[in-house]
Amino acid sequence: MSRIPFPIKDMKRRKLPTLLTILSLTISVASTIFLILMGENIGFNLESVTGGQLASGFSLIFSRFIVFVSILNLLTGALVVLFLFSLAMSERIRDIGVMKAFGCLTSSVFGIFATELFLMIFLGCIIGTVAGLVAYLGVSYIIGLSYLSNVNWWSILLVLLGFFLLSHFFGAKPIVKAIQMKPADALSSSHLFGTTTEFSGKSLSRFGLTLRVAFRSLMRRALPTRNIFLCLTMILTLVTVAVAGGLVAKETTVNYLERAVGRDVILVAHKDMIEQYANLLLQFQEAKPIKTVDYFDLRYAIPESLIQQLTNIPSVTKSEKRLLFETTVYEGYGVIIYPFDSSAYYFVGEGRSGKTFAMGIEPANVVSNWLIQGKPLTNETLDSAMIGASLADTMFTKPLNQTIKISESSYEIAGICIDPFNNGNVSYVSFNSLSSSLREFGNNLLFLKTNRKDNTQFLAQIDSFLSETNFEFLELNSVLDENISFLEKTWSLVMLLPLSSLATAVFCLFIYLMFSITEQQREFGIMRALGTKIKVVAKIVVVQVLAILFASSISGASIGFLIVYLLMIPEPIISLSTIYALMILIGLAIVFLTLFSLYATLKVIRKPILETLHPLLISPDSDSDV
Amino acid sequence: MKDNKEKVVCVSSLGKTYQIGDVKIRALENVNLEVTKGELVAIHGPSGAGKTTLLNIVGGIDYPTSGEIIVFGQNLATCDEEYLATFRCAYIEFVFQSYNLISTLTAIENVAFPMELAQWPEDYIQERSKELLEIVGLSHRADHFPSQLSGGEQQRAAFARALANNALLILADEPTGNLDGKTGKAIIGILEKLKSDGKTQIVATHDEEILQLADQIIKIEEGRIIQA
Repeated sequence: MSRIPFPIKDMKRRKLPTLLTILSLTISVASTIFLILMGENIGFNLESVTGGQLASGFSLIFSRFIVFVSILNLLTGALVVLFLFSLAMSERIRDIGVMKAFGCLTSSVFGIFATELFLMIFLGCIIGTVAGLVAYLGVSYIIGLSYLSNVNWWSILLVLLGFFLLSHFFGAKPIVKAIQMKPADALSSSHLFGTTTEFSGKSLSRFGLTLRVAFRSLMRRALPTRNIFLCLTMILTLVTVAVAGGLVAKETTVNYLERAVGRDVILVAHKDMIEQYANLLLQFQEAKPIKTVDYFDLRYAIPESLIQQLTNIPSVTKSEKRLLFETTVYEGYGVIIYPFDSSAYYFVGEGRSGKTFAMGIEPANVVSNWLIQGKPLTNETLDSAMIGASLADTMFTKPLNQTIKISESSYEIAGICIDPFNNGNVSYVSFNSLSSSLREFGNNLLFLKTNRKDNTQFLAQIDSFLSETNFEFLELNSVLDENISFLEKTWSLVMLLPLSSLATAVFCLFIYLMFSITEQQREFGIMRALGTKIKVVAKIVVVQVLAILFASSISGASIGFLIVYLLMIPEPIISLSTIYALMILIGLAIVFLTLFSLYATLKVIRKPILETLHPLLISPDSDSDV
Repeated sequence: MKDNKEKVVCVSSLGKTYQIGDVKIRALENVNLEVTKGELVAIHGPSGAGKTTLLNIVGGIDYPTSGEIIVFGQNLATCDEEYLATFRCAYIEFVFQSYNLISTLTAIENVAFPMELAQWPEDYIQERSKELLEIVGLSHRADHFPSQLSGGEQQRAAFARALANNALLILADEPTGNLDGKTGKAIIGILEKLKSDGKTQIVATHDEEILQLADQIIKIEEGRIIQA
């Protein structure tokens, strides 16, 4: 008699289920660790090129994307463990009945299977961590990111702990359910079969044998069907969030950028001011040195007569004057009143200050259309300011409840905008609210929005008006396109990350299907022994796979889209081309999943009949003393 | 006399070897057997003698390693899986030792399954399934799943399924092996009726009553026929 403990002996003899469970855990842990480490590394790299951090509004969406995909990854791994253990335990109920019938205490039976669960989770987590780290280091090395200093061991520990606890929680549920069964119930033949509900299938009789048998089997094996539906829904939610989230986030952030800068806008200003403005816009992608400029140099003030001439050009659809200047701004304190007790309040703010850029704008004529949290500026709100997201993050505690002091005037912060200008370190106030000394100077920037169709002629007209002045013009589209290109490159790097999740999804599904179909293979064997051709059995399984994939695709894609639209991205933008791209990508994912599942199916179906009629999953060459 | 009758099964020099790990197990060795139309052949012998293997090969769900197996004029050893499936559907029905009812189908649906495969009209299938359940005394359990039937009831449902397509050859593996005396007698009654209807049957059994009913008794030990 072997002295190896029962759980280890049991795991060794049930090689396939043991290996599949460990493998699915390994892949889930590895891809989550890879995702988080790569996400952080790409974040570090973005920070280093932008000289601090990516403009807050943009990095918020980026980090939300990583967080959502990581959480879904974690949940998928835990759910797969739950389902694998549900299947494994449904196969073992009879064994449990025998153990209990021979006097094994419930706690001892639990101990045996809990030990198996612990060992599999432990092995999966350890191997997964090593695999995730190796994948991260390898990919970082290949794409040329610095990596060694950026390994966040706390993140790894957190992921491990999350997986360890979630997997134990989910994996213990089917064990507890199985061991609570009375020995007589566990030994009865009713647990050898998965039949759980009535479904006559009479309504399907006109659709022929294949559909009828496929749907009967699906509907009557309610528990496995529900499990695979839930598992696939989770996997397809992950796929949708990864694909749709990435594409929509990319399109939306590009849109935020376009809205903030303005499309088809011409900037008219002194050469120094044009250089300075363009440089400040490009701070979004790279931290370049900023020249010291005297913004109130009279040479920079644009004469009103010139403004009138340019504004009167027929192609100009909108014109806006701005006064740009650098100044020290101060954080003002705010009062927060408790929601349920109007007499109780507390102060927020630390009296911080810092050098930043401010712009006096004409709220009614702005060429920008920022994404704003809070309220936009109006001509009437002279005591209000709008600040960039990065400034709000770095200098304010609860910005929308606080004030900001700019050039000796104090303003309530009405809104926070997403703006690439100076990487979001900027504040806007109404020109009319500026002090009289500033107003007397006038404006140093003029923005003209035009109809692009007659651009050449329009530019020639502007050129002729400016030829005898010190002023020049710049098409902002060129700067905007540079920023968009940077943002798109960033997203294309970020979009690589969910590939690891997609791989997890596909592998988990494959493993689950192998299990699920193996469970049904005896039935296939009986059908074939009765004269059903392999082709017909394959058709039955294909119908089952397609039905489940169709149902779970609809629910998974819907939940995924809801997460993307309601939780992940504020004011999401989705164009027709993105819809087509999404449909193609998600369609491809479904086709891929179908082919994978069919591979698993055909592998099982093609087994010799006798092999399918006998209990499988136990290696025939294993030693036999249990 | 036998030579004048139509030969249904003709087995010559049949051998079957299983490989489990490094060990080779000879399940059948140089088996020769002839079964004519309408005969009830009983195969008996100790457990592990090769009875089930012989039935599986005659039924076309397993291939021999050597020798020839001709059933209704077809050499099954040379047929592919697809052809064998069609062949089984048309000529052969099984009654397995472990019943092998499809768990997600009710008793009546299990009986109907071979007829659905053979694409009989829906009305005929319904009527015939009810009739067969009536014959085996299971009409009151028609809508029950296999898990809700006792062993004897499952065995009777399996017999009803075997009769569904009026198969010319019925193979039964220990049909009374797991049953109590009363249910066993009911099954023997079915075998008798099939015999009187002119069906060819090969039954692997230890049951004395079935052996008495048989036209031909074959004793098999360690894969060899030792008495025919």
